[in-house]
Amino acid sequence: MAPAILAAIQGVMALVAAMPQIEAVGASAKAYFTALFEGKLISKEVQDALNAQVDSILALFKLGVTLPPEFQVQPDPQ
Amino acid sequence: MKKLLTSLLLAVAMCVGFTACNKGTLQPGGAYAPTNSVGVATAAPDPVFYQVDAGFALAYSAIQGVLKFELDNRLYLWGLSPKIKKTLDSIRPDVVLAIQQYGLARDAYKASPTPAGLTGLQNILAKTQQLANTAQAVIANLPTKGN
Repeated sequence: MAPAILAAIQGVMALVAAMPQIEAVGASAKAYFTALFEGKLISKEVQDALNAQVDSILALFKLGVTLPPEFQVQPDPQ
Repeated sequence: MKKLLTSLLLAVAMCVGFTACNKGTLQPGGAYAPTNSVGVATAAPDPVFYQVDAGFALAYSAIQGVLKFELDNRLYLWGLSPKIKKTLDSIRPDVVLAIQQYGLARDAYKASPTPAGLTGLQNILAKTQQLANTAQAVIANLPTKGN
């Protein structure tokens, strides 16, 4: 396969790999901000889900806990 | 992809705006409007704290998505431009520090909710959102192979 075509395929695969994460961010934002946008009541369930999500994020970064690999500075590729 | 990233950047920017206003109505009994077992409020509803936490969760998700994208595709992106990893490496320690600071400030605010404590959380959130913007700009401006 020609290198240019292979590179293009790799590029598309990389972008597709990122899509679910990015869509998940959008969905999370929608859940938390819809009520604010629309001036609606923010339900107990949405409040508790946000509180639990923030708690779980912060638990990953407590001192003494190994950081998730994407947050670590690793050596450059050879 | 760029459309999605633009939407995310807009969403992060809107978080900043939201944390400056106070329009949400919290259903009693939730984490940000606590009540006791018979439904009597044990603390005043705190919609600004909700907004700050929501902004933090969004900024974190945006940063984590970009950093994981770079890690999962490191060799390919390194081939496109070493600057991608180097730029993200330059913010990784700052991101970790900001998250740890947010955790400490949040624990302190939950133990003793004061206006100063809330301002401190908002300031750390603003720093986190700047880091999210930096991270997303790296991916939004990816060079193409051969450029």
